[in-house]
Amino acid sequence: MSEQLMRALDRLSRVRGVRGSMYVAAEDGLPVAQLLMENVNGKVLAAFAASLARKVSGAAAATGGGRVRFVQMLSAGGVLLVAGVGGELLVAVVADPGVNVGLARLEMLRAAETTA
Amino acid sequence: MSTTTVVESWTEGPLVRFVAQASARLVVVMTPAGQVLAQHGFTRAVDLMSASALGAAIMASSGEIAKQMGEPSFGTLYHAGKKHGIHLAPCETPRGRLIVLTVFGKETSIGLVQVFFDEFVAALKQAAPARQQTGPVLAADFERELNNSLASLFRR
Amino acid sequence: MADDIRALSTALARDPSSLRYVDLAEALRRRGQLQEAMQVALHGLGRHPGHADGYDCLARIHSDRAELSEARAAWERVLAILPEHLGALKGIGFLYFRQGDVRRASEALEHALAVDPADEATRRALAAVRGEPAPARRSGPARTRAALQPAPEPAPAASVVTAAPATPAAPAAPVAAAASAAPHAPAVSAASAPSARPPVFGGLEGATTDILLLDARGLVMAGGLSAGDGSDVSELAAAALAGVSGEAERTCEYMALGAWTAIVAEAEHANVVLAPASEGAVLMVRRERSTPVGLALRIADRARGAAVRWLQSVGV
Repeated sequence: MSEQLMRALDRLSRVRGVRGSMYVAAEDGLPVAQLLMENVNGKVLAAFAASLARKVSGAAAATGGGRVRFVQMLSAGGVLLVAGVGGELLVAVVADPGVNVGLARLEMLRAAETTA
Repeated sequence: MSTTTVVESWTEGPLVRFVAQASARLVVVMTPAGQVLAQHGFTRAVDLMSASALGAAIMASSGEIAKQMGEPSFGTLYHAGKKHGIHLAPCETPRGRLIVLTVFGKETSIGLVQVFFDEFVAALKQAAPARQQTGPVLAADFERELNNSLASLFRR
Repeated sequence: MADDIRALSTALARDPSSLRYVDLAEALRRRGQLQEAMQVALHGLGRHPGHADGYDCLARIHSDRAELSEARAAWERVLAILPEHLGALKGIGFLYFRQGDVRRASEALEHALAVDPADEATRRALAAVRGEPAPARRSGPARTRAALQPAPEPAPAASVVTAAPATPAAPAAPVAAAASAAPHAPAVSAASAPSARPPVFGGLEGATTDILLLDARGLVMAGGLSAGDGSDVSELAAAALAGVSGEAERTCEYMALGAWTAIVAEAEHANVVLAPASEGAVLMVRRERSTPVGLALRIADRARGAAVRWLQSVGV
């Protein structure tokens, strides 16, 4: 199983601009498997990706949007992407501002299905 | 009506920040002997005494297991409950070794508690005064110190 | 000092052990005098440590002061004394919801509804928490054309509207009562009806049903959000969305990503875009799933421009 997860993360890391990708235990905010560049803090990425996903899910429910599948947070210095929201395992990616979000998203949804 | 109260003032700033960031419900900062230096969330002295005694005992027990396994010590202990989790971890400060017990609910996560705990430890290290010279502990002194701590924590 | 507060203070001075301390604390809280309200509540609870209504009042004061952990602890205390205390069930449901715990929020509100099945506000809040589908739309092409029409000139500065009195049926109301004291909040009511809110997003589709402007405290400033049955769920949504904004800021800080510029959530029934509008204010735009994310971001950018112009015009 962990080989499968690492293969999925490896595919993700090949998307240009991706600095780090990981599987995160959604409820705990703890890393399960990760592939990170040197200056990416996995503990912080896992904890905050899970927390943001949880808050966004609650907000989407309040707005009548229903169950959330994918979250992207755009910022001046990078992009945080979270897929698999609502499941036990999230896929979280941190990337450069110029990353091809569409491509990363496709790979992330594929990676999320690996654990479904 | 929960508040943060401290026996040693240097712990207050870091503790207040840790509680806010980690959304902790209960926190106890204590010595390995269970003497409380600071707390957040407790409203009754008896609950605080129980928590600190049990926390110190758990750390002591896990330390013994570690010794038997040939490990220097175990780090963090984490228990996940249905409604709450507990995070119990030691930290080294200029004041000496301390133990921090954190109880948190579903509004946060162990991942976040761990991230902010690391910051909390760094802040404690920075704020702590140099280690005090301690003489031998007498039973009467211990009792008086404990009572003084509780009085200070609960403002009696 | 208002007459009611004066009268209550006199009554309490005459009989310090009276339970009317709750009324006085609540009156002070509604006036935004939170420090005084806290003192009265704590003093009363010192005399009546098992008084559920006293803890309920204390919880509302903590909630107004954004001391959510303390508010929860006080409401939990109420429920330990009286497991079917309606105010506490709704209050704690609101807190869970604000923290993103939809399951526990639903449980608390279901319990509240079981205690008082006639409480329509709780019923609507529960429906919103459970996630109603987006409201019915016109067909795609016409909708897209309407969305791309230029926004109108900025709305005139909003006149001051006093906050509507908080009602027991509205857990969000205690926060709304302190809106005038909130930093960076323009002088508009947080509890005003949708039709009374300033027309900031006129010309954009969904100006009062799918676009919401809220402040840092989760209070509605302009626009509106409707549930599937057409009811207004703006306040509930604003409370939840403020939590997202705060979390985004914190995430960006800890991950050294700089300031966040937008959050897009692709959900089952809708795409939701969040964007900061100005210091402390956040904009939300909801679009059907069929609207491409890129287009939703552009629409949000337009709405954001309208929001920023309006905020400048009202001096915020």
